[in-house]
This record gives sequence, C-alpha cells and structure tokens, in this order.
Amino acid sequence: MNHLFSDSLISIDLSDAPVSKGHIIVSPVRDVKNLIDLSDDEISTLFFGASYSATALFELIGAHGTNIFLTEGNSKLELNVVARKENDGLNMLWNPTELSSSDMDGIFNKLKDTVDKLIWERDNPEEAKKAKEVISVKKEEIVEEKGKKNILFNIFNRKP
Amino acid sequence: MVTQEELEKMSPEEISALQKQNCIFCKIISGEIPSKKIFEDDKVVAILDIRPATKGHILILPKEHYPILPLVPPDVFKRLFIQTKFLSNVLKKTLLCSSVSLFIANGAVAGQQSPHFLFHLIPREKNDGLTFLDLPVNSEFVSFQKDIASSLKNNLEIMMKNHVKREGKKLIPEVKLSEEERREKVFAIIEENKDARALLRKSPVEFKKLISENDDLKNIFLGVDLEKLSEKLNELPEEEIQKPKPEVFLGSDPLEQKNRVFKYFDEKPKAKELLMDDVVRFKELLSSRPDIQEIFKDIDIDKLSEKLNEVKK
Repeated sequence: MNHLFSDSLISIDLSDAPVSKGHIIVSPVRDVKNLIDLSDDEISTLFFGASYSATALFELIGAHGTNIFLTEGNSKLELNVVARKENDGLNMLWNPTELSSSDMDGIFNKLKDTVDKLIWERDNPEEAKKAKEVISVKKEEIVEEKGKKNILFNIFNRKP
Repeated sequence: MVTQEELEKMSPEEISALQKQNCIFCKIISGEIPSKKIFEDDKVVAILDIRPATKGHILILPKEHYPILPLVPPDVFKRLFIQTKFLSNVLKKTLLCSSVSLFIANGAVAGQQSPHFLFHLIPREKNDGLTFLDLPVNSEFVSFQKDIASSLKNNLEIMMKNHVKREGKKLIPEVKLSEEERREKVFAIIEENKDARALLRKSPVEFKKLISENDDLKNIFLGVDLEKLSEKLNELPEEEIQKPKPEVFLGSDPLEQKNRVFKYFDEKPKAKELLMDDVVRFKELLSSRPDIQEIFKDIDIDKLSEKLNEVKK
C-alpha cells in the first residue's frame, strides 16, 4: 500500500485493491475491530482523516463526489474513501426492505428502550452497578432453584 | 417558488439559506414533519430510515443544516462520530446483529439525496444479502493510484498538521505498540507510581484528565478501560501491589532503561545476537566502546542475555 500519512492514532494509505481512480483507506493504528472499541479521540481523528482525504481527492483529481464507508468484521476496521465521477459505473444503492408500520413501531420501541437504558447506566454508574449485582444474584438463585427441582425430579423418576 | 433566473442571481449564502428553508430534514428535526427519533442531544439526531436497507437502519444527522461533511464545524463533527459509537452499540445490543456498516455519500454523483448532511448506520448479519458495498476491484487503477500518491501525501500532511494545530495539540508520530507491550507499560506505570495509583483507585475520570495532559501517557493508555482498571485495582489491597524486585534493569527508571536498550537492539540487531550467543565477547565490546557503555549502564548483562535467550526459546 502507498503510505500517505500516519500519527499516533490513524494511518492513511492508498488502497492496493482500488474500486475507483482515487481509493484511500483510513484506519486506526491500534488493532480495533468494532466502532465501540475506539476512543473518542480515535474515532473523531479517523473521520477527520477521511473527510480531509475526500477533500484532497476533490481538489487533486477533480472528483465529483466521494463515498466514505466501512463494515465491521473479523479484521481491523478500515474506512474506505472512494472518489466518484459521473458514469463511473459504481452502484452503491440498495433495495429497501419493505416493513409494515407495526414492524417499524416494534423496532423503534426496542431501540428507544435500549437508548434510554444505556443513557441511564452512563449517568448513574453506581445504581447501574448495584442493579447488575442484584440481577446476577437473582440469576444464581434461579439456577440453584432449578438444580433443587432437578434433584427431586431425579429421585421421583429413579428407576428400580 | 424561486425561478431559475432568480436562483442564478443568488449568492452561495442565499442559496444555502433557501435550501435550509425547504429542507425536509430540518422540518423533521424541528418536529414539523413526524419521524421515529430514537436519539437526540443538543447537536445530533438519529432517526429510523423509512426505506431501510435492513431492519433497524438509522440515519444520523447534525441538528443544524450543513449541506456536506467538510462544512460541519469541528465540535459538531466530533459529537456526530462519538455518538455513532454509542448508536452502533445500541443497534448491536437491541438487534443482536454481528456488525454494522456506515455509509456516507458526499455529492449527488455519490448518491447524496438530501441537502442536509447525514449518514447511514446499517445493522448487518452474515449472508444478509446486502451487497452494495462489495464493489468490484479494478487492477487497472493501481498505476493511477501510484501517480497521485506523492501529491496526495503532501496535501494530507498539510491538512492533518493544520487540523492538529487548530485542535491545540501536537502531532505525535505513530508508535507501534502491541497490546502486550501496552499492557506491560500500563502495569509498570501503575506499579511504580503511588500517586497515579491512588488517583486511579479514587476516580478514573480524574485520572483520565491527568493523562490527557501528557501525550505519551495518552498514547500508552489508549483504549484502556480505566473504569474497569480502577475497579480491579480496588479489589487488591495496597500492600499486595509491590514493586517487582529489579533483576535486569537496576537503575532508578527501569522502564526508560528497557526502552533505551531495545531501541539500540532495533538499530543494531547484530549486537543483540552477540549478547545472546557470547556474553564474554559482548562485555569485551562494551569495555572498548564508552558510547555503548552509557546505554547499558546499571544493567545486569548476564541476566539480560539469559532473559533474551529464554524469550527466544
């Protein structure tokens, strides 16, 4: 890969497997596979790097537009910055999934609940810790209870 | 309704104001048009996409109207992507999906359909049939890539340097640290520094503030979960955290000594081989070279050779 820039947080390189004339890869220096594992500094620098790469492609090769994308996976995170021109033959459109309004409502409610829960946990770390401990004790009690039942069940079902 | 003629006479600022006035996403944000808003803070909003690529596909956008990414001011820019981390976690926890895709289109040619800058966060599963990011590689473009490399490099270096300067920081060169080396350094700092240890025990937030003032420390603690580390530390009584007895590096700053020696070995791998194969000859070399003597000052040479051979085995 042709190396373009690096600092303590990110590395910017030209792609060895280009999908367009002007394909740049911006990646964290650390071996990180998921967005959630990046520090605040890392994720903002990563996207600043991508945005500057897009601007450089616009200024230097006259790109008419750019796409910036990534997919988390089993390997290290890589942010692709791809220069676009009219009629370049690339198609980055998807066929929308048809969802009923009740499906949409269901997903919306679930996502909203998780958002509220995670924000509450972040703002009330002590209480969240206690709540988790209570849940873990309850779980242990349930497992214990199940174990007892199994013993009784085994005694009654013992074959001569 | 504005005519083509009127539009042509307008300044870029007037066109932007007009776009903002008619922007459907500004109306969604203000509540004029209903939407399924799953998250908002003072700068960022996330809504469910009504034409989703997969179930749970969301759009993340700044509350203020900016037409393209480069026009988003730095404070909003940072918040957008920091909240993206949080929202990727929300998608994974709720939908139990294995990963997410993030997609930005800058400009109509790239597929930007809205005059309000936004991007997509899409929950993904293995074999979900979504192939819009599986693009065909064209090896004919490789030579073009090589041709533009040096101008891109110059431009990016200037842009990144200016960015770091605007942020009031210094550009720190890349330091390759394996996770093991990082862990070792973190433990050494905690073991050797009583005050730092006490602060980390008491308040990981304050400890984070302290390390954010020092670029080297910031780099060493990069990605370390300070909350968890503080929790683990508090499970151990202070007297159990004893400084390990020095064996090889006997000076007042063993970590610095170690870094100095391994830097020398990186530059002179033959010297390392000599130390591992023949300690006596290595000592002879030392006696004739005062410059190398300085590097190996207060170091048990025999033990170092032993340790290096152990590692090799």
